[in-house]
Amino acid sequence: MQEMKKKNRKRMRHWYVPFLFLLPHLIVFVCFNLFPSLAGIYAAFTKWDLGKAPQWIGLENLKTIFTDQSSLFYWELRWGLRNTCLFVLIAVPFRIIVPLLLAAALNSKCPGYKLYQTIFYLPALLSLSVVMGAWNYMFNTNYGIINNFLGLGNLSWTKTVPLNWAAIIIITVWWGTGSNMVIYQAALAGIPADILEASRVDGANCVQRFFRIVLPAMKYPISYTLAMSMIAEFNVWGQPGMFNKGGPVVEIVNGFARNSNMMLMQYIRDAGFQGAYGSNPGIASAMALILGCIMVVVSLIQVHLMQKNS
Amino acid sequence: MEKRRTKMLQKRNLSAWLLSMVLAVIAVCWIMPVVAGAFTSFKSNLEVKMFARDLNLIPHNWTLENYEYVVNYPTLSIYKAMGNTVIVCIVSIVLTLLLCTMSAYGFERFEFKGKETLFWTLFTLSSIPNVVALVPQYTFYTWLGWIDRLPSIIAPTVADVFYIFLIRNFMKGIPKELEEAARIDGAGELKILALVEAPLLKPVLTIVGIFKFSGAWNDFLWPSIAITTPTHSTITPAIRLLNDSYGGMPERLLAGCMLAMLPTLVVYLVFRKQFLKGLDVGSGVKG
Amino acid sequence: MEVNFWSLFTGDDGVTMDAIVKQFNDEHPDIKVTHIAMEATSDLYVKLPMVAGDDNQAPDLAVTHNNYIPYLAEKGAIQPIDPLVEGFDNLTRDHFNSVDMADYDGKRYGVILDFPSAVVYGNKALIEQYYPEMIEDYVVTWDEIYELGDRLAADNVIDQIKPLVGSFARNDVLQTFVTQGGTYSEDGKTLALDKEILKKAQGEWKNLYDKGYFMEEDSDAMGMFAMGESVFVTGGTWNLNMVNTYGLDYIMLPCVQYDTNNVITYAAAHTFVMPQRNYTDEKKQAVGEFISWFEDHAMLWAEAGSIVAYKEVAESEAFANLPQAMVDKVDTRHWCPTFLYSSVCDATISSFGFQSVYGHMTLDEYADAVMSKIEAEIEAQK
Repeated sequence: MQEMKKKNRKRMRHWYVPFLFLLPHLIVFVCFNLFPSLAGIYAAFTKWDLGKAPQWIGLENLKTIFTDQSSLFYWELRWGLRNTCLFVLIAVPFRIIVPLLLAAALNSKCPGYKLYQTIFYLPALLSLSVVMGAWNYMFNTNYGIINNFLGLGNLSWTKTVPLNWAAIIIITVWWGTGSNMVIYQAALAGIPADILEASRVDGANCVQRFFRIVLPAMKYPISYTLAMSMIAEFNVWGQPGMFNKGGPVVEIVNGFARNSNMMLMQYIRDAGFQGAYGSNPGIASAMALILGCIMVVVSLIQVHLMQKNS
Repeated sequence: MEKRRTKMLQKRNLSAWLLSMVLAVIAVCWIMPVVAGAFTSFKSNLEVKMFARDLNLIPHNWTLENYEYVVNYPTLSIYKAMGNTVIVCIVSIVLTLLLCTMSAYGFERFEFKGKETLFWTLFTLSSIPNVVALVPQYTFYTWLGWIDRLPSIIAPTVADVFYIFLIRNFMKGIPKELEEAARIDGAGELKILALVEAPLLKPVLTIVGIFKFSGAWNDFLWPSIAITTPTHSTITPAIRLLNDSYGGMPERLLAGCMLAMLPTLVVYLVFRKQFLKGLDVGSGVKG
Repeated sequence: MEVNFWSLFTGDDGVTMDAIVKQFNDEHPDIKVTHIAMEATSDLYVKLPMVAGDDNQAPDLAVTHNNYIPYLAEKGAIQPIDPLVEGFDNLTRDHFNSVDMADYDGKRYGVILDFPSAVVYGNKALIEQYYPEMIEDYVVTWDEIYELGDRLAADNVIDQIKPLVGSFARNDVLQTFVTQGGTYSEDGKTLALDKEILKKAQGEWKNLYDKGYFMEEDSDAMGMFAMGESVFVTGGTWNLNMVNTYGLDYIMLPCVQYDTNNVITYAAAHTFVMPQRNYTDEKKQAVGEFISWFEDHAMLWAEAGSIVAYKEVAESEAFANLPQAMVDKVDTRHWCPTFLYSSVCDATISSFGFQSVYGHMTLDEYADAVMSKIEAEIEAQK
């Protein structure tokens, strides 16, 4: 009894202790991450000539991109959102399934698994320029590896419509598999071997084992990687941009041209931060705000699901 | 009984080898882009153009001219750039591990009102696309006087909430008894974290370290804006300078890419044993 | 005295400039020029306005394209260059070709280094074989290109050898645009882009392609030229070093023209400009020294493949022996449209490339889409 009292007193005396642990990170986060982000959100409500102070214009930018059909940015918001959402819906499932299968295969510790693990993880170590440099070379129309080794002649991966999407999906999945795979491997290794052994003795085959034992144990890593992958792919701009600059024009609306695989983040960067079209951080931030809202909503849904699971 | 066991073992061995062969085929395709890029970096421009006609992956005339170009290219100062990147990586990793581990400990091992709300709020706030912050960040760092210097690259990346999440989950799998014992013995919380928890966290910390390393090494968007002077730059944005104004010389860019990629590969291979050990130990990411 | 010098010379040009800067520093122990190169549109033109007026951040000297001078001037990033060139005899206006390329609003904003020009490279052996007369006047016209195509077709080699291929869509369209009288603006401040000329500019390439005389989409034009699969390839003076490695007997001529008597080459001008900041008298003197010394030694720059602007060098014997001197053999006007928003126009035309040539849009749709995008982006700037 005396000892318990002592313990409680010790705990209560230091109620502020958890906050001491949280504080360093919070300070850095608020200063260097939150504050600039909030300033960026503020920018969405301004007209900002770089080099001068921003001017508050309230909801003007948002009104333009939501209602003004004669504005280029109205269309860019729509096309960008549509393409980005489509991209996320296709790329993310592959970014979960492919590493899951590979991790399961590697978990069997078959001959050479250590070498395969290194090879599969390798792309995750590469930067965007390296990835695009290598893959542009693979997909090149004239002297690319893919066309020449598969005998496809002069097939244009960059300018033919379903192919350009296929190409950027392939590149994205190749690039993103490594990090997810490693997380799944860790989780798989954590499944006690005797449970798997017991089920094998009971006569369950590979597929049944997979769905009844493995998958449920992987709920957390899968939801974690799902969240991370979605965030990464909502932000995509490098692959579609550096592969074919947005792709061939596929539609004309109101005199504006829509490119096949232009993502919202590309439109945002072009509008705000490129220097080529001049700079309009106001409109760009407004579009980024919309994208951000959608991502936050998606995040919240996932958080809710993850909390329900734990 | 013996016969059945041997037969089962044989069957298992056969299926293991089959799996290995399937994986081998996948692995060859998987590594192809990097291998092709590597071979191309040893080709002259003419050979690159000739590829479509003679399909020679392996160079006829191995040449080091692209690498010479990259290494000697004065404005790039490749050694300086690598050096800067190493500094950025090491500092980023140390700071991230410190901040995130402390934070994860605070969230996981203590109870207080609003704990989960605070955590998930942080998590959600982190998902705001960072392009929103680019212009204000530039103004902010100019005001701080950090523009064109390494701290401006390190600061935005250190307070990563997702690593807190990862470490927290790992901690869930560590039994509390060890800490309880240390606490009863009168040890302060910081000591507990450093001496008791941290060693047990080695696997996940290695994973975070490696993720953070390649993240910092390959970080491109913000550093290319924040740093003007090439001698202050990190390697990945600096590589862009190699491409002449209109593209058309992929072999040079690829030579630069190969050089830029080498250190991450070396770090991974050096720490791979730790990495794999961490995965094997088994107390991985649990629910 | 330290001089901070920002330029857009990445790649090979950067190597050359670094060597020139080093030589200057060696010969002038009291002045140290530090050369920093960066990408033009995504870097230099974003940073110059951002650091304008800040004496700690702004460079002392910069090299930009002349068609960005209106934009940078209006943003307050640069100032008229007269203070820097005062007192240097060799930097007065009459020492330079096409000196008006660096003017804006009646003031002189820059000193020109060279004209990165759109040119064609021709495979002399193939020209000799099929149509030797076409280069006798040192000008290639569109009529001659079509005639060359006809002759190749008559010889049944048209599938293997094309008369002309294009290596850079943006410049290719702009060439046919300016050679047909196109411009972005009359006064430099308001948009005055003739849609019809734009249509004809893209249309010429479409015509060539429809006849089977042009390359397939996304082809490696330089590669085709290197392999002898095309008689001519469009390019720029900046491709000179690369073309040299192909080991061909080649000739460099102005880009394809419509009128032999009115040769216009699409060319910007690399220009020394004076960033917006405070200068001490010593600093002004040092910067001026460098510019003056550079122009005197412009032959070094020319040897790397540029068409220099400094008359003393451009009209010298030594220069006449360089491959790029061919481009100036006839009376050529190097020119590009300068306009407050020329970057918007360039970028838009660049992003639309050859979309209409390969049938992704009709010519009318193309012209409309380019115009609406340009107008929208300009509106957003105001």
